[in-house]
Amino acid sequence: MSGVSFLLNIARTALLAQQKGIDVTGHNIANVNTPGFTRQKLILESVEETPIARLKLGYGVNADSVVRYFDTFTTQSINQKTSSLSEYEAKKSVLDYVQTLFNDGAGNGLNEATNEFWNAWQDLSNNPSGIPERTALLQKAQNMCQAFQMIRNNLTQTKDQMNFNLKSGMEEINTLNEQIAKINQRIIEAEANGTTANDLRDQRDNFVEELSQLTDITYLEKANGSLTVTTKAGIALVDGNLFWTLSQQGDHIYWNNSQNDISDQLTGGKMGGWLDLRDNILPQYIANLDELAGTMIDQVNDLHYNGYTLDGATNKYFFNHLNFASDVAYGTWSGTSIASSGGVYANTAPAGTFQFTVTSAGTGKVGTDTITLGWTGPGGTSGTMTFDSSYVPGTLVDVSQGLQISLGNGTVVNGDTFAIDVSPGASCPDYSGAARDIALSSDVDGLPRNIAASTSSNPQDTGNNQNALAIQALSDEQVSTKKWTYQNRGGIQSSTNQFGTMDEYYNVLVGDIGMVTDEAVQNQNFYETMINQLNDLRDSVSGVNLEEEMINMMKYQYAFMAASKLVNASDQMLQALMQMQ
Amino acid sequence: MRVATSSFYQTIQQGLLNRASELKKIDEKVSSGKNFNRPSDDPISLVSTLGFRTALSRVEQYSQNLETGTLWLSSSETAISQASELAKQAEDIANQIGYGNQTNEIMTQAAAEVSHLLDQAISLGNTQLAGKYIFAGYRTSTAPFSKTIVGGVETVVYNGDTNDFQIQVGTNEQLTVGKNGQTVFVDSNLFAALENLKQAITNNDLPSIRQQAQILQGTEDSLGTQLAEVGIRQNRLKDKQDLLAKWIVNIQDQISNLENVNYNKAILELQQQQTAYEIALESAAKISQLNLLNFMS
Repeated sequence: MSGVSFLLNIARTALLAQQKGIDVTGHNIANVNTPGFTRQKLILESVEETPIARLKLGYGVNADSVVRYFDTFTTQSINQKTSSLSEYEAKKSVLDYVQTLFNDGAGNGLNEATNEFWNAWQDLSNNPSGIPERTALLQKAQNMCQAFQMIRNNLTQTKDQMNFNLKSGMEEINTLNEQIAKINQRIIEAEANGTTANDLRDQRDNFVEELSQLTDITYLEKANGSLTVTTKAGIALVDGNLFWTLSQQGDHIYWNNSQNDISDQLTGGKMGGWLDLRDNILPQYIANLDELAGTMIDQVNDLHYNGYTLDGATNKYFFNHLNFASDVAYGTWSGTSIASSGGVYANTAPAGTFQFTVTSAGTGKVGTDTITLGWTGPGGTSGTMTFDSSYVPGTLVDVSQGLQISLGNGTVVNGDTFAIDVSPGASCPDYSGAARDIALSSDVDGLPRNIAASTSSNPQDTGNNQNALAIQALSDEQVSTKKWTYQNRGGIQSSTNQFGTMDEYYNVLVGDIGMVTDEAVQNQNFYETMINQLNDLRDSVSGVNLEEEMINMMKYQYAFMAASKLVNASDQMLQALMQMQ
Repeated sequence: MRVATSSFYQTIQQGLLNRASELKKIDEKVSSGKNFNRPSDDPISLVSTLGFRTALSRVEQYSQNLETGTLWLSSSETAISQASELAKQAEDIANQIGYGNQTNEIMTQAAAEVSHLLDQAISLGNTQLAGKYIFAGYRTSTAPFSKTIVGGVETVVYNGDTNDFQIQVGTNEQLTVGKNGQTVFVDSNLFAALENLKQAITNNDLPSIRQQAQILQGTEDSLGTQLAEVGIRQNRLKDKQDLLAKWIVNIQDQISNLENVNYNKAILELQQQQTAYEIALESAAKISQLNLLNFMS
C-alpha cells in the first residue's frame, strides 16, 4: 500500500519517535548528577511493510523500548569492594580514636607515668626515710594507676559503643531489606508486560549498594526481575517481596527473631568492622593491658609484702591486692579414698606454703547420700561443707579463701582425709580486669610511712633502702608476661609468654595499635582507589556524558525538524492532488 | 574510553581531596615539628622512641642519684679528714707531754684539750646530711656515737649498725656512698685512743701516753686509707656522671633523629605538595570550563 497519506503516516511515526528520543535525552541530562542513575537509550526500529511483489516500502519508525546501559559485572565488583571499604572505614574511625589513648608520642601517656613511678622508687632509695619522697611515690603510683584505668575504661566504653553502632546498622539493614522487597514487588508488576522498569532498578541498585556498605552480600536476579539477597554466609535477607529482619539482644544478633546468634555470619561492611572491633581487636588490647597491669601489681606486691615499713611493720601491700582467679589447677591434691576429687585454687597464694585438710565425718555415696566434710585451713581456720543428694559429682564447690573442690563418683568412708597443698610457683593467674582495678592498697594509700622501703624489721633502721632498690630493679627485670592474640572474633584466644621488661611490653602494645590502625588506613586507601577506578569503569558505560547528550539532542532535533518537513511535503503533495481538475 | 561527565568532577574532587590530605600530612609535620603525631604515623619509630624515652628517664634518674651520692661522699670526706686532723692534734699533745717534766697545770690543760678533741670526734661521727646521720649504717635517725659511763669511766659507744648505704647508679649497678661508723671510726681506734689518752693524762701515766701516741698514728693511717677510698669512689662517681651526661646527650640525639622533622626535607616536600595542589586546582578550573555549549550558537 502506498500513497500520500502513507508518507504522512511515516512522518507521524518519525515525529513521535524523535520526540521520544529528545525525551530520553532530556531524562539523561536531567539525571546527570543523580547518584546511581544509569543512562538510558531509546531503541528505534524501522517498521517494514509486508512486501508486495518486489516492492518493499518501510512504514516508518517505531520507538521499541527504552533500555539502560547497565554493567552487571562491574556493579557487582563495586558492591563487593564497597563492603571491604566500609569495613575498613569503620575500623579506621574507631582505631583512630583508640590510638589517641596510647598516644605516648607526646610523652604524657602510660609510658611516661610508668617511668616516673620507677624513678620515684629510686628517689625513695636515695632517702628511704624521707616523707616527701614517700608522698611523691604514692602520687606517681596514683598517676600510673589512673593512666591504666583511663585507657582500660576508654577501651571498654569504645567496645560497648560498638553495640549501639551495630544496632543502628541493623536497623538500616532492616529498612533496606524492606525497601528492596517493596521495589521487587513493583518491578515484578511493572515488567509483567515485557517492559523494563529502568528507574526502579536504579533505585534498587542504590539500596543494594547501601546494603553492601553494611555487610557483605550476594544477590541474584530472578527471571521475573526480582532480586534475591543473602549475606555472603547465606543468611536470607530478601526474596521477591519477602524480607527478613535482624534483631539485637545484648551482644547477640538474631535473624527473624530466632534465638540463634548469627553475628558470625555477618562479615565485611560496617557491621563486620564493628563486630571485629567488639569481639576481637578491642578485647585483645584490653586483655593485654590487663596482663601488664596484673604483672605490675603482682611483681611489686610480692616484694612490698615482704618488706618493712618505716615503723618496722611488714605484710603490707602496695597495690590493692587483687584475687586473680587462677586459670589452672593450683597446688597438689593427695589423700586417702575420698571419692576421686579435684579442685582449683582461685587466689594468688601468699608467700609460703599452706595446706587445707578435708576429712569426712560420715559414710555415704556421692550424689545419693548427704555427705558432710570438715575442713581445716591455714591460720587455724576450719569449717564444714555439705554435699546433699542433689550434688552432681564433679561440680566445684567453694571451700574457703579461693579454694574450690569437687567430689567424683564414689563412696566416702568415715575418717577419709584429703590434703590440698597450695604452694606458689606453678601459678598462671588470670589477670583480666587488672588494668581496671589497679589502685593503691588501703595499706599505703595516704599513709606514706607504710611504704616498705626497708628489709629490716627494726624501726631504727630508717636508712635501709634495700627493698626500694629491689622494687626499682623490677623496671629492668625480664619478666614473663602473657601476650594474647585473638582471632576469629575472639573465638580463638591464644597466648604466648613474652620475656622482657614491662616497659617493652607496653611499647610493643603501642606499636601494635599503630600498625593495626595503619593497616586499616592502607586498606581503606586501597579499596577507595579501586572503587574509584571501578566507578569510572561503570560510569564509562552507565554514566551520562553531557556532550554526548547534547549531540544526541541535536540529532533528534534535526530529525524532528526533517520529519516536520515531511509533513510539509506530503501536505503540498496532497494540495497538488486536490487542485487537479 | 567513554567518560561520563560526573566522572570528570569525581576525578577532580578525588584528586583535590588526595592532594589536600597529603598537604595536611606534611603541614602537620612541619607545624608540629614531629615526624609522627599518632602511633599509626610510624609505629616502628614510635616503639624505638618509647624505648629511648624510658632509657633517658632512667639515665637521668641515675644521674640524679649520683648527686645524692656526691653529697654523701663529700660529707664523709670532710668528716674523715677532720677526724684525721684531730687525731694528729691528739698525737702531738701526747708527744709533747709523753716524755715527762710537765707541770700539773700543763697536764690538766692537756687533759681538757684531749677531752675537747674527743667531743669534737663524737660530733664528727654524728655528722648529719639533710637530718640523717651518715655514719650510722641503716640507723640514720639515731645519733650513732654517744658517751656513757662504763665502770666509772666515760666511754664512747656506737649505736649504729654495720650496714653501708648504697645508691643505684645503673641497671643492676649499685655504689656504696656511705660507710658505717663502725668501719670508719670504731675500727680505726679513734675513740678508744682518745679515751685512753685522756685517762692516761689524768693518771699521769707517761708510758701509756706514749703508747696512745703510737696508736693514734695508726688511727691517722687508717683514716687516711678511708679517705683515699672515699676519693676513689668520688672519682668513680664523677666518671660515671660524665658517662651518663654523654649518654643523655646520645639518647636525646637518637630520640631527636627519630622524632624531629628534618626541616630542609619537610619544607621541600611541603613546597612540592603545594605546587601539586595548585596544579590540581588549575586543571580543575580549566576542565570545568570545557563544554560543548560554549561552541554552540
